[in-house]
Amino acid sequence: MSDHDIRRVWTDDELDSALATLRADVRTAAPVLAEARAALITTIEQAEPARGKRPRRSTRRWLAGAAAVAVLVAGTLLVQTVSFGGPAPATAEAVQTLDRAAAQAIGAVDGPVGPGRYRYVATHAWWMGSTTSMDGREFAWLSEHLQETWAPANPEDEWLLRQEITGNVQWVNSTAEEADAAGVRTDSRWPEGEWRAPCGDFFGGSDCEDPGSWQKPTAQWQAGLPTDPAALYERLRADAPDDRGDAALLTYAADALRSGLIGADLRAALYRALTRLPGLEVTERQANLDGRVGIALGVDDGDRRHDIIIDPETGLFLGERQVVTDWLGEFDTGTVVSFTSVTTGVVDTIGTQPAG
Amino acid sequence: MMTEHADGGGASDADDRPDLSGPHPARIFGHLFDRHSGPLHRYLARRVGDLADDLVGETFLIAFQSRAGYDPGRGTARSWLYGIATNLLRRHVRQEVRGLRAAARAAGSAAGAEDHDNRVADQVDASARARLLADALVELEPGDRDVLLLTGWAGLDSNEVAEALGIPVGTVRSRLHRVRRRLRTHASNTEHPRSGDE
Repeated sequence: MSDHDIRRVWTDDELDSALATLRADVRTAAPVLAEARAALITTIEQAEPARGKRPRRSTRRWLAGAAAVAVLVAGTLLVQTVSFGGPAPATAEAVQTLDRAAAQAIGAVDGPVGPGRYRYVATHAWWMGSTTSMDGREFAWLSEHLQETWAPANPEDEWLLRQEITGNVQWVNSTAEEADAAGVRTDSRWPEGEWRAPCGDFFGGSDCEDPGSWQKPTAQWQAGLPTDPAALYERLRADAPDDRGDAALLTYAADALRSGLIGADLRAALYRALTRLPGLEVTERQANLDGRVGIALGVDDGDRRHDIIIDPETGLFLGERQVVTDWLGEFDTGTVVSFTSVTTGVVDTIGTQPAG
Repeated sequence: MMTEHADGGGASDADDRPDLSGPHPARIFGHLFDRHSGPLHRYLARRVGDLADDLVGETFLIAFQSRAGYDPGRGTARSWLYGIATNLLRRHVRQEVRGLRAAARAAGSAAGAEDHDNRVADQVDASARARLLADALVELEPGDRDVLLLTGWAGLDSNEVAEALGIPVGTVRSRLHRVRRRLRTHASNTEHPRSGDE
């Protein structure tokens, strides 16, 4: 006997149908592409001012992680139709909230860091991860990424950065038991560890010459900003990318506020600048972020709303979050797809946390 | 629900062959990403499964970093992107082969009971053939696999495949012809004909 007895040559159509069928069941999860897009855009934006300089690979990677959520707002596969229906300014309540926070920020609780001491900033960022299980179900979760920074009074002294994935997870569209049963793994490639460098330039090696940006608000960069809120607003509008409408301005402001390194005066000016932001409104009066409650102010970019959350008593920036407003059924309206809480303090020794 | 951007057809030449060295790279590459990432991810996922999640981002990062090397006169941005992705896939041939072996072994849907229904039988045939094809793809040279799948899965035409792989278009056509002939005979080797066939 021989194989030739049963051999039958396929037609072109049969080959084509086999090709079309083979592994045709793959799916693309929107968050995967959203993350990739965010990392790409962040890389480009980081590379832009440094054009012509040596590429700074690890910086980009770190910033890509840190800023991914901020840029995630952009949406990816969806054709964006951002329309704000004309120049509607921030609502009266938003203006009032920001003005009050600005007034309080001036008498700030987070005073200057004395010589030889350190500003401590802890950022608890809950970023979304997602995967498709073997049986085709999509699982999404928020995973806690802790970033602690010790910034010396003199920025040219040594800084310390610690990054840790805490293992804390909040499931978005399933229970922990369901995810467990499906064998979902919540791995992340975010780099963990400890880095030390003068000027907080942990990955760049810029010899303290980094001019700074909204994403990396060095003291020198802060000193170069206008103090007048109207002028500061214009600067924000000039610096923020113009492809996402007014939501991009809030994201840039939040990037700087999130660093925990913004001085009280600048924070006040920034709050006042944001009163000019079209579409900004109070979205929740008692927003709970990781157990801390503040007033949420946000702008909807058409798919998602970006909220910043401010403590009305102290004017402190508590953090931010992103909430689905209309994401084509991917998640229910109101789903929080990321949030970040920021706490700051002053310590005497690098590597120690403030008491209490 | 996602919207897959139509790749190619109807788009302007400037869209197909954008100037990637322009002054607003974030906007240019954002647009490039929105246009091509969905289909590219799907193509990569069909070839190497979950690795596609990383590779799609890597492809665009490399594209950005090497944008000076893109010449709109020599090919479409799409060919160029798939060329970059093809290079990345070369590092993951073992993963691809594992995936194809798994696809070849995948349990077939219950045939037989509904053989009288021709449409169902056709579908059963298609998935049975897909398993045989998976087996045969393992045996192909990686370069042959690229030509076949860039055409059959990514939907590139011969010119685009030539641009992507940096080989003459005549070579693409003859290679594709040879690979298809081989698959039509070889892949069907172990197929058992249904009774009453032909």
